[in-house]
Amino acid sequence: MKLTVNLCLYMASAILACLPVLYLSQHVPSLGKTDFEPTIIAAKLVNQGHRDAVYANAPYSDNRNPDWIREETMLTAGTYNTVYAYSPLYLRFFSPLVRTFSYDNLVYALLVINLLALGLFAALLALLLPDDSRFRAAGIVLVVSANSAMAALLLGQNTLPFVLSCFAFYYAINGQRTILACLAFGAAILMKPWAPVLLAFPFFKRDYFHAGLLAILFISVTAVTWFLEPDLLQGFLKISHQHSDIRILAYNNYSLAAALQRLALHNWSIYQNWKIAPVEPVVGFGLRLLIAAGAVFAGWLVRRDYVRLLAACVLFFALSRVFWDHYSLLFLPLIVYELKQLWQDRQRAIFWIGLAFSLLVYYPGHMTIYVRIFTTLYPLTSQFTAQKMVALFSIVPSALFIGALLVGCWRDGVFREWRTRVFDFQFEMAQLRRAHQRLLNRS
Amino acid sequence: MPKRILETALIFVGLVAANFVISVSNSQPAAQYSNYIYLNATATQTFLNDLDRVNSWFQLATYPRIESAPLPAAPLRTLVLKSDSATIQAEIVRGTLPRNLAPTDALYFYYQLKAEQLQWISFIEIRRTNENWAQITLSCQQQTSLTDRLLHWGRIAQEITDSCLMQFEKIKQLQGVGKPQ
Repeated sequence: MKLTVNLCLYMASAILACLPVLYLSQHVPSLGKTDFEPTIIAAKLVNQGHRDAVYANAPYSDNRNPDWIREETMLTAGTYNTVYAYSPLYLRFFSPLVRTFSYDNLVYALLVINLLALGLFAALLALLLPDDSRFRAAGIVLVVSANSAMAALLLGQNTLPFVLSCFAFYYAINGQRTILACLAFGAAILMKPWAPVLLAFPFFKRDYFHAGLLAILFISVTAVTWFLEPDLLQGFLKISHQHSDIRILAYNNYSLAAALQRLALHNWSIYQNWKIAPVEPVVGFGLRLLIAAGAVFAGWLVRRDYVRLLAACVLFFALSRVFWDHYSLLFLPLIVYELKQLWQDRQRAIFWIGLAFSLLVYYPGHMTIYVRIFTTLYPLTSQFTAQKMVALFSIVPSALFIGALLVGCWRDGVFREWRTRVFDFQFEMAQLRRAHQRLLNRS
Repeated sequence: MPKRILETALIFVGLVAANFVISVSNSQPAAQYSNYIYLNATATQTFLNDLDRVNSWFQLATYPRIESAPLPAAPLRTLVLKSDSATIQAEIVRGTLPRNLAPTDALYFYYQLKAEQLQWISFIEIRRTNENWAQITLSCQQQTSLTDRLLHWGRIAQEITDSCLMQFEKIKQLQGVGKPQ
């Protein structure tokens, strides 16, 4: 009972803390736009029978379908020129809603759902913090005022429900709750095309029953989609492939690929406005694959569940070329949990470094930091140096996520275990060599 | 207990207020960077055709005027306008560019152009491409409509040219480059 009351109280506080900035953002045209339009437009197009227009737009390009443009121009607010890149089945939920409600009503409804989801996310996070109301109040305000949280609220479309479903999935797999696991995973794969990466978590746990069951669920959902919407599924696969191949160096792309490419390019600021960057260097691609392999290796070896989930998240982070800032919310509870453990274990130095890095990523957010650094460095140094330094700074999210995995592995004893194994191996080899020498001497 | 509640409330309200103040102060830089322009497929083609026309007009009509403009030491030789959907790039060739000019130029131009009521420009950046070339990139505000930009393209090009001429002259004078000996 006390837990429920606390949860409701934290949720209300989080929503209350959001409201002033939300109010402000609605009055600054460049900040206050939402990005719920693609789903609504796509659902309208399906209802009108223009099914071929749903996935016809090329991502981050001016190449857009005329039917889509016609629908878009009927909207009162401006759009972000984004595309619909979710599952055709997800669209089925929206089709009846679009028939019943107006565009503005739907946008407000989605905003309210996101606001509630953000409140719940912040409340759950507050419960991870030490039991001190002052500490938790500060934590709640810092979380909801982060740029990542505001981006998830306004632009992330379904990121917040997705993050909540991921943690329901984590909870279900840990507690062997099969039905909840299937529901959470089902919701996740409908919301994000890259959600199947969550399968890595039960796989790392060697929980082959759930891994197999969920893989079958994923295949079944794909088969049902193919049966119900074969044309839309083709478009979905095409646009998912196009999205995975896209190279964007905008500030809110935290992916490892973008960070490495910013460093490799002498002048990356010309690609900052969601323009497509040149082909990724082979070295960067190789390094990403190496880190992804390391994440699989780490996930397979560790014993603690939150490190396994961290490894699954790092796996997607390293493989994907686009990792928007609001996806980083996925890492936040895991990092908070890790920091709490470090504090309890009196690893204070790593705790403070981790906290500093976390604050750099989550608060006050990418835009402020990058713009401030760039404008400060620009008049002082040559442009080349400023570019390189800001590019170097953009590696902070990668350092935080990969660093959190490394710290998790270290606390889990993986490195110690492997060092022992290597020493044991060397010891055994020495013994073998000595035995071999003795045999030689005897003969 | 009441003391703890009071402290919690103070921390909460204080942080919310601080965040609001930070957001207000940050809204301006964020606006400068959000300059993605909406163009549809049909309009893009029209835009590009018109752009070609405007560019030819610009080169024919303005280029000789720049050539004949009286300049103190290092005249502007040419100004070419290029564009993709979202930005205008003006490449300016000059006789000599002082080595430490580019960073100051960028800020100077930005404020000067803002002052000259070119409200649609949200961001200006100058990159020095080599010893004699500087590339100027201007980005439009999101709210600027396609028609507006097409209608004002020629006028804006003219204003940029004039502004460039004027500013280079001023900077040179400030740095003593063009001063009569």
